[in-house]
Amino acid sequence: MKPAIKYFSLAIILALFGLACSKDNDSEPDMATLAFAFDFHVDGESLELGKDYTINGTTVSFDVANFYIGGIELEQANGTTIGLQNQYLLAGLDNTATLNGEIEVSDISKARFFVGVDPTTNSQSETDFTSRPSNDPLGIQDPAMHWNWNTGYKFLRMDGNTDTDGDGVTETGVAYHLGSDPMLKNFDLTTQIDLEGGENTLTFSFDLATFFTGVDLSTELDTHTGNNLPLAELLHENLGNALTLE
Amino acid sequence: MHSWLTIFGIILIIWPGCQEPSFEIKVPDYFPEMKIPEDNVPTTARVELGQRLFFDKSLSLDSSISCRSCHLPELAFTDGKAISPGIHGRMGNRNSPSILNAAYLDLINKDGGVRSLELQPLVPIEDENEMGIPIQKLVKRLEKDRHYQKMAMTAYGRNLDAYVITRSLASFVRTLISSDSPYDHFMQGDSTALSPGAQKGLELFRSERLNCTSCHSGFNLTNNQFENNGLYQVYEDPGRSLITLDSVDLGKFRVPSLRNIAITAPYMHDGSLQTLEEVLTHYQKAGQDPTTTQSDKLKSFILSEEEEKQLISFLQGLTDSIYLAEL
Ligand code: HEC
Ligand code: HEC
Repeated sequence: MKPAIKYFSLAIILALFGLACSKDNDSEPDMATLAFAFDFHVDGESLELGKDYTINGTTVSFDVANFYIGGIELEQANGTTIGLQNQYLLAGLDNTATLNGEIEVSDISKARFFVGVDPTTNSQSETDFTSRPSNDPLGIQDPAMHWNWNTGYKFLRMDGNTDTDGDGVTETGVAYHLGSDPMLKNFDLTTQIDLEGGENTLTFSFDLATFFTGVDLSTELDTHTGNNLPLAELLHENLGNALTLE
Repeated sequence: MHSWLTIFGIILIIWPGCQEPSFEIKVPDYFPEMKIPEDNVPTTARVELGQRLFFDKSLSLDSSISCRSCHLPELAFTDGKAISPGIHGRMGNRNSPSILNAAYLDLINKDGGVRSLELQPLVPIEDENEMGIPIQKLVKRLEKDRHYQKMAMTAYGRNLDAYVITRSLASFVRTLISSDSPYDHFMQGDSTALSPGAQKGLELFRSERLNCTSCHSGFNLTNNQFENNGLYQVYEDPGRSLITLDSVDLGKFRVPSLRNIAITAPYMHDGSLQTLEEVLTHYQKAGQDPTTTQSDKLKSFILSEEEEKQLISFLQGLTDSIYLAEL
């Protein structure tokens, strides 16, 4: 995931460059750096791939846990909006995105973003994923985040194994893939994130137990969105509570 | 010295363009204009690379099947099976369609899920029930082949990668045109190209009574719309609704071209009808048994034995022999 970070950092530097240019230079405010991190957990316990967890009474493990975050806009108390409109983060267990540029020290009071990929980019009509460089989060990923039988990206992908017969052994593959324009999930959070001079980290916290609220993982084995729309819609709904900003 | 270098540089830039003549895809003038993406104008090198990939079994995980395995030139690029087995004999759920004239499709596959010929090859390549190999893994495998690398460089000026594989396969598929059937000759004025019986069949096909041309119309005998042609009350394969997420599209599939239909049995998205006679039997009663999403263009009708022969004789007149011996 290192290249993705590099790409993202570059984008942020460029974005900040634009920001810096429009600012007056007379006073020298305190500056802060910002990094993005992801904290995946099951009911407070950190997620490890391949490890067994119990969700809604079913033993389950995960091998893939990724989703896209885009359209990030952070409002600071000083009235500045940091916008990263066309950039994407691929949220994943060990993924981080370090912001190499600096912003003024002022608390973040609002955060807007979405999970998914905007309709234009998702339509693949301008640049498709095969045309993107390998260090672009929207380029080809391993594990893959592009769909092949359907246009665009898996906005969110959770794959693993589950225990269907209650013997505690996770023997059956499961796959939960959300995608297509209606599955885009908007977030508009009022937050109180103190920024300090120097390093700061913004952590997206994702709770799989909340994400699977109301889902019997021993029987609901997959959704590729269209083939099991009711499950996709439930997960889409749950996502709103499962993802928070620390 | 400097100016020589500049000129040399310019030649280097122009060189690939000069060397690579564009590839002329021959189509009759009564075919509509073909939409070709700007970054993938066919050249001989691109088409040749795509053709080589199309017939190469190393495009599948265990190197057991190629694109050709399911798209045989001699069967108008179908495979004669209801469902085509992929690697390890795994079964998908759809019948392999002819890919002749696929160049004219805006939405690819029976449910229209794929929006360009360029991205279509990833479906069989990556599908676990077909060739079953993630594209990045395939790139790693093929980039070791010096011949492929050389072809990629000539065709696209870059190393073999996912872009080159998908673009070149699309370029090759785009050249697969069917336009030389007796029906074409008849439509162009050769009144003897279709037998009198087949001509009667064409009249029936176009009649309001049968209403076939309300869906199978135009140069490619399809309106390219998504329709439910009444095969089932409950569809195991949801078809178009998989993509649109809209239940009104349940059981809808893209109206297929009927070109080469006599040599592309079995029929329908799941290969459930074996013969053209079975297809006609289906359509005769389709209109009587409307499911919730069945098209109201379907009429129920009764064909006499002679009419059935005439209609089939017309459908046989849609066979183009150009690929039967080639490739
Ligand atoms: C295992 C059998 C199999 C293999 C191998 C296979 N195909 Fe197909 N192909 C199919 C089936 C089945 C469909 C219909 C898919 C659908 O509608 O969802 C199809 C559809 C297509 C279409 C779209 C046709 C249309 O009318 O929409 C094209 C183009 C195509 N294949 C090209 C290829 C190429 C290129 C390759 C090799 C990279 C390939 N196929 C390999 C079975 C196969
Ligand atoms: C409402 C639109 C509609 C009408 C009217 C219609 N068809 Fe079809 N036809 C379709 C669709 C959609 C399919 C593909 C269904 C599928 O894939 O399951 C199809 C498939 C076929 C096929 C099989 C093609 C293949 O490659 O598998 C044949 C043959 C055919 N139609 C002939 C006819 C004839 C003859 C008539 C008139 C009696 C007719 N159709 C009327 C929509 C229509």
